[in-house]
Amino acid sequence: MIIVGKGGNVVSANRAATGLLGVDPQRIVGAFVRDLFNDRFGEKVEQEFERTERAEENIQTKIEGVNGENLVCDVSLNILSETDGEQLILIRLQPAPLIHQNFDESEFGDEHFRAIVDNLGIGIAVVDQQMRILSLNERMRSWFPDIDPSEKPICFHSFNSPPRKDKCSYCPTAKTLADGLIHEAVTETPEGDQVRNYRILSSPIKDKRGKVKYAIELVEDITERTLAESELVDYREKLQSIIDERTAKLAESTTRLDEEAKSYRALERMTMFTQFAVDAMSDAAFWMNAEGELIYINEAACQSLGYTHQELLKMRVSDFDPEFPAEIWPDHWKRVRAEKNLTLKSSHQRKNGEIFPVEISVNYIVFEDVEYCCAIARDITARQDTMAALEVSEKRFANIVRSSPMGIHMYDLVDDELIFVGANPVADEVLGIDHDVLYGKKILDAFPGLVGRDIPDKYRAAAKEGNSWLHEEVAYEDERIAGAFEVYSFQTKPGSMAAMFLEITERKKNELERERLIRELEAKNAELERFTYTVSHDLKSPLITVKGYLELLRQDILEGNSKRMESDIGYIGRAAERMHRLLDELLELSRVGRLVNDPENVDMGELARAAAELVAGRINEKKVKITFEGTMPELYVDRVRMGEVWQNLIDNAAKFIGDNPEPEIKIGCIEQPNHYIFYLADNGIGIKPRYLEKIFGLFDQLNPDGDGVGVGLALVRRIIEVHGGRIWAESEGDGMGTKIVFNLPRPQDQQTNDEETS
Amino acid sequence: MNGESLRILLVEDDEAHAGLVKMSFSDHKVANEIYHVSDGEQALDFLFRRGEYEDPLKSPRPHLVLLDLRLPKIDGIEVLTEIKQSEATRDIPVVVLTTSDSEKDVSAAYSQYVNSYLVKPVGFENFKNLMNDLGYYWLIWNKNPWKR
Repeated sequence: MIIVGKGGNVVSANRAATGLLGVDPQRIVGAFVRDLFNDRFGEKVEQEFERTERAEENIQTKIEGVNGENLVCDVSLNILSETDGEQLILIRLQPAPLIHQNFDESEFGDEHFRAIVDNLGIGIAVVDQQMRILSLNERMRSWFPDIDPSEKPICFHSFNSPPRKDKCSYCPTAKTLADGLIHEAVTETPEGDQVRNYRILSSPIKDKRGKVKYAIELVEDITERTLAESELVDYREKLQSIIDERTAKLAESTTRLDEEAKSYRALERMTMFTQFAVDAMSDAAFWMNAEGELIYINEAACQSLGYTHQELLKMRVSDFDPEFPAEIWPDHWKRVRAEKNLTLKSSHQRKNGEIFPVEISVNYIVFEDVEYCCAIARDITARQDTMAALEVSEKRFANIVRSSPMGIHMYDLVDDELIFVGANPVADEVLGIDHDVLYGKKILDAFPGLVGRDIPDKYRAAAKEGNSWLHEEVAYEDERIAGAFEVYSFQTKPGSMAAMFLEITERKKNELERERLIRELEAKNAELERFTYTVSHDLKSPLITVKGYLELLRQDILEGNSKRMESDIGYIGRAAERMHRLLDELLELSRVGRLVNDPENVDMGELARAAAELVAGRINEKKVKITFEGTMPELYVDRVRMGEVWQNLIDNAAKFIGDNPEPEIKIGCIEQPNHYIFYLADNGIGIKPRYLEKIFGLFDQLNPDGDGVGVGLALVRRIIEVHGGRIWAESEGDGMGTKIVFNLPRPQDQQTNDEETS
Repeated sequence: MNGESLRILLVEDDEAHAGLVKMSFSDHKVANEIYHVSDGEQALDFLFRRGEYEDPLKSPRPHLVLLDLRLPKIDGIEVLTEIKQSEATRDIPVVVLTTSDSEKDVSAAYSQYVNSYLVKPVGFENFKNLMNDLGYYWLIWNKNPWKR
């Protein structure tokens, strides 16, 4: 076997090859294959290198053997590829079997043949049917020097060591002897401490009848070839595994490289993006190292400071931040390292010397074992201005709240509950309380007077939805506060509200007073109208009488009709008298409009009794019994006027007592929460319901026969009304008696005439 | 006048005034029957024949009503209103004779369909002349829808 390199020179050859070729094993390596074989074969070998697609080809060629004689060999070409690109060709040389040899008898005589057989590189033995060795060539004899063919030893006794008793099972010779065919086997023959391999090719030698007489064993020592082949296989496998391994590694590293490239590209883009973002950032960004030296600055940083990139890159923080001079830098760095990120306020100085306030957010980073710090600085001049403005506006607002003429209460909505959070001093002044004790209280706890009212809902709506609410009159009362307020509630911010209020108790009081005065004035006006009317009618009336009867009197005197004269004078006299009374009473009535006497505390019972005595004449005349019922209170009134009330009422009752056999007047008082009800009930002639109101009218007389002019009850009504009371008459009709009822306010309410604030 | 006596219902609370009216008419002999009531309630009782005037002989239908306005119990305007609202009495001429010359009373009377409004004159001669004219006008010259 010969291995040939790309250049056509032998790389390696085994002993069998050198033996076959008769070349010195020392010299064969490096020899050109062309020199070893005939030209045609040499070319063929060289061509093989070009045709790598066919890995193996068996060819038969003549080669020049030992002693310059031609030798026919089987040559198989195996192309071996090496990883480094070098190709090798394996040439296996094998002498063709003798049987197939076609040689020229004339050229090869017995002797000649004998010499060839003896000098062949393979051993030859002839064995007969009895497995006896008949002949050995020189090679066999050199391998088995102890065997003497002349003794015809049994082959399996001789060739095998230790000698076998029986023939080998695989023995090709035995098979050939049995069937006449060519058989082949490879032995593994122990020799010393190693094993040798012999290839045994057994060919039959037949007699003329075709019967197998002998077998020829061709024995070739293929130990080294086998070894080389297995080495070659090992080598190929090893190569293959190396190739596989390398390929896998390569594939793996390719993949890894791809991934790395990909992530690198992504990283590159990211870096570009980051760079772009940082540069485009509106805040100034500074990267610095532990020494405070700037290593990167973005565009905004350059612009804010007025330096160029190049200038800044040569600067330190202390060069533009007066609050971080070089001597405190190490301490600052320690702090940055400890806190990792922090926000601080500082100031930066521009190239032109301007100093402006900045808020800096500092981030500490470690990149490839080097410490850095990234500082993002924002110019907060505007913010400080805004803050200052805000502060001013807040102060102003606080001043407004404090000095507002209206009381202000403030609430926050917490879990849908209105919580009292503050008030202005005016609020406390108005309500007469200290709001400190109300802080944090729920609205209904702070102001229990609001329980069950819609005001908290209005406030809540203000805080929640911003619905403002104005109410012109809210009455409020609890243990501390009582009054009427005008309230305006509004949202101060979502979830908070304020209620502004103005006490209108006084205003309310004034309003009520005004209304009362208007009513009084209207009443007076109506009365004045009646008065005018009365004057136009009732004063004219007696005048007509006087004038009419005077003429009649003159006529009667002329006629001497004394009877008519008397009657005329009577009419004239009564009319004059009536006129006199009318004028007196009108004067009296006009006085009542003003309280002519100062009010004093008067016992009403005593006063009524005194009045009854003053009109005793009529009472006694009509035999009227006067009964006083219950107790009478003491009131703060005009004694004289109130006396006139009783006098008029008692006299009037007595006047119209009629012909009741037991005339009686009952006078009494019933106490009510806010006033007293006085009554004067008679069992006299009574009044039809339709005239009940009429009796108090000026000059209204139900009975023209009476001696009055119709001023008495009008006067009584005036006096009662001036004292804040009311008077009316009750009667079931004619003959059913009359009850005059009037009320007067109780002393605590008497002086103010107040209606209650709702 | 078909020989029929003429009737005037005089509603007057002032006795003296009533006397002047009666004497004025008696001097002229225009009216031969004057029925005098002294308050509004009596006037309506008379006209609608109620109470003490239930008997038609006591309360013949008047040809004219002379009505004062300031009356006890029911005042003149109210009496006028009732007269003019009732189908039975609305065609009786009603003449207000009062001391009041106030605008209020005049318009109140006319708004209740009074037929005439007179203010009592001062002095008997004036009174007499007025009553004379009144009598002639309403009882002689004026054509009335006489009803029994």
